[in-house]
Amino acid sequence: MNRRSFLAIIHMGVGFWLLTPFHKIRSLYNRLKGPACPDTAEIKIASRIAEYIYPESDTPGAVSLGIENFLINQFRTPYYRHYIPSLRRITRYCNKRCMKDYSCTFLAADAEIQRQVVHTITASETVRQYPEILDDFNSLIDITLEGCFADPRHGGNREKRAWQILGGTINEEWFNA
Amino acid sequence: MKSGLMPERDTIFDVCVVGSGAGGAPATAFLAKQGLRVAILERGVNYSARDIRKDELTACRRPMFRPDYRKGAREILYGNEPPLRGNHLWTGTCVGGGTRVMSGFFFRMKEQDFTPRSSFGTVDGATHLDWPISRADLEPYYDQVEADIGMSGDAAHMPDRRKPFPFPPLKEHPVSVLLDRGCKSLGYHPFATPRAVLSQKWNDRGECSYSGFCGSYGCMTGAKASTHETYIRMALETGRVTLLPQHYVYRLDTDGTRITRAHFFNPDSVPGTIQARIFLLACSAIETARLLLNSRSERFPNGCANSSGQVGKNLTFTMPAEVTGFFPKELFPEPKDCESPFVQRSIQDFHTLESDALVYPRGGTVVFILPHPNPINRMIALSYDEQGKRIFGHALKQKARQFFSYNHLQSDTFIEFLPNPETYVTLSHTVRDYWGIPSAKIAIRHHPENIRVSHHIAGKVAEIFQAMGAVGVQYNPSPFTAGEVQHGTCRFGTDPKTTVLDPHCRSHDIKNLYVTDGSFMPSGIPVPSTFTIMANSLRVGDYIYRNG
Repeated sequence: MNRRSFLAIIHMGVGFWLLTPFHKIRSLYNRLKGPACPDTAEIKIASRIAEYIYPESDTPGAVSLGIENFLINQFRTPYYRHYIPSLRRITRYCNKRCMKDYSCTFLAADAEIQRQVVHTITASETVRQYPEILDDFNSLIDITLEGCFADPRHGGNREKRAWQILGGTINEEWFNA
Repeated sequence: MKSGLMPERDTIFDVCVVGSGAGGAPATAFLAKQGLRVAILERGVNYSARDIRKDELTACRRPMFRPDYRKGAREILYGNEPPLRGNHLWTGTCVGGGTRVMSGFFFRMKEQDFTPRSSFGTVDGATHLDWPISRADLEPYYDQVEADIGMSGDAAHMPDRRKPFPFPPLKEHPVSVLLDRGCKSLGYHPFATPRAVLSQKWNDRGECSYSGFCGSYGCMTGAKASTHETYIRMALETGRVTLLPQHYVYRLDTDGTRITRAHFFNPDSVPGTIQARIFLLACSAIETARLLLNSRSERFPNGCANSSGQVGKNLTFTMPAEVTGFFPKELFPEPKDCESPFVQRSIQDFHTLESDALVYPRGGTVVFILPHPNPINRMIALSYDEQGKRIFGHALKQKARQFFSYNHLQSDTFIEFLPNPETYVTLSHTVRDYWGIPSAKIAIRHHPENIRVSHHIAGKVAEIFQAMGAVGVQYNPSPFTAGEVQHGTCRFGTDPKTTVLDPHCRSHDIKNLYVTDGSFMPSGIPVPSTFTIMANSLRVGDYIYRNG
């Protein structure tokens, strides 16, 4: 490349920068970069929903197993990136529903309200209004069970306590052999 | 020549092998030992034993042994269901291929398995053919594979077995005593499952650690006879083999009569080419068909070596009959010194069936296993009800508690899959991979006779479990196979109009092209196929050396 064509390319680049609105460049950049990781509030809402999917009983539930840590770790990985829009739609739905019915955010609501809101996700009326929400919720069931039952090094299944429910059919040495 | 280094641009190898699994590695090692220079291109990663983790999330639910969605997307038409896109039906994608994640059930085909059409007749809508070779042709190569990889088993209860196995059988699960009693009470003949897993240390390979996380996880001790531990290692020791992992071959060039070069993308997605005198394809039945169909030219407008129009047709898998028995904990002994999910018991009493209800009385081999522990997989399976709706909350926990209050025994069944015109591989018009190459479009429809045979065998297995004292038996009626075992897209035979390969697995159209993965099989087989693919690979390697 000679000096003249090099300068022509630079001028074209500067011209494009000046003539194109900044928000368009930023939107193009964001599209190429993919969706941003879920923020803290979104992770907390997802953890609360996960607790209703896999609740505390005589054996630990999702929250005490450390689902929040698992979600923070996994949503940083490329594999979970395609789940981000699903997670975002669910958390938005929960907040919207809470604001509409109870005039508060999902996280500010008490446990009973949260439970009622989560149960509306699978209601036929909701599915009619938001056709994607059932698939989103099913994805969250898979994510929750992965978080609860995966090896603890991924952040969930604290002290391998989730495996208690599997009874005698899981031999802990299997995981170390 | 060292592994992983790209040779000089003008290097012309004696043989270029595409795929390092059961079909590619044995021929590679054989030819390299005879003094030929071989390049082996593998699209997957070369994992060492240190990379293997007993971690379900990493090994089974993430794309460790298969390409990720961008690189491995396919279009799948299953029965009447809407088209599915996803990275499904891959065999292991790594150096060692599917043998890295196999269970290692190594059965020889019986004499009549080579003549399914003349021995058992035709069935409407099925396109199975007799093989152009017999068991006697394959027998010496079966023996050679056993000696090369180190198999474990007990010949005592196997009537068609001529000599003992190289290694004693693996430790048996205590339930095998109960299983033997149940089988014998019904007149069946259980025997120790022959396994391609070492029961004792051998050379620098360790013995089986009886880890519950075997199968899809890879092996940390080297006991499992994956080609990574056996033939690839032997091949590299000759110093005449160049192993190129993460090299994806996407097209073959021909001059009309011979393959001249293979085009690949290297790990940085930079395109390149490789030249050789002979090309040997072994990248699984689906991917071999895709590679040939993607290699169109003026001489072969429908795909390389496809003058018959048969490339991609007659795809077969294995037909399952998955039955789970529920046993009270006190009846079913808890594992003590043997934690492996493998019971080490099989029966072949259903190899040939006697039933007036069946048009095609061909069954298969039943291997008994404990369910793999995989907690995530099992919990996700439990989160579906019978109608396919999701269960969650306390209902899910209750269901899990009830399920795990019993011990379970399962049948892993390998029934001959009938090839039919509605099960095939072609190129997708809508899905392309990361590099822009058309992906495989895979259509699967089970022959109705296969479904009947599966139900029939499931009923027989249920009787065995009941004779053992099971309190419940569950049959999974889904005929959908996991898809790791695939054959039939480039069948071998003597007629160039109806088959793609000659009896030596050489293309009828192109004289320097061989195919040695499961593609060559002209029928499904009633045993797991990896052993046969390995033996055939040695047979073809031998032929190439003598005649190539």
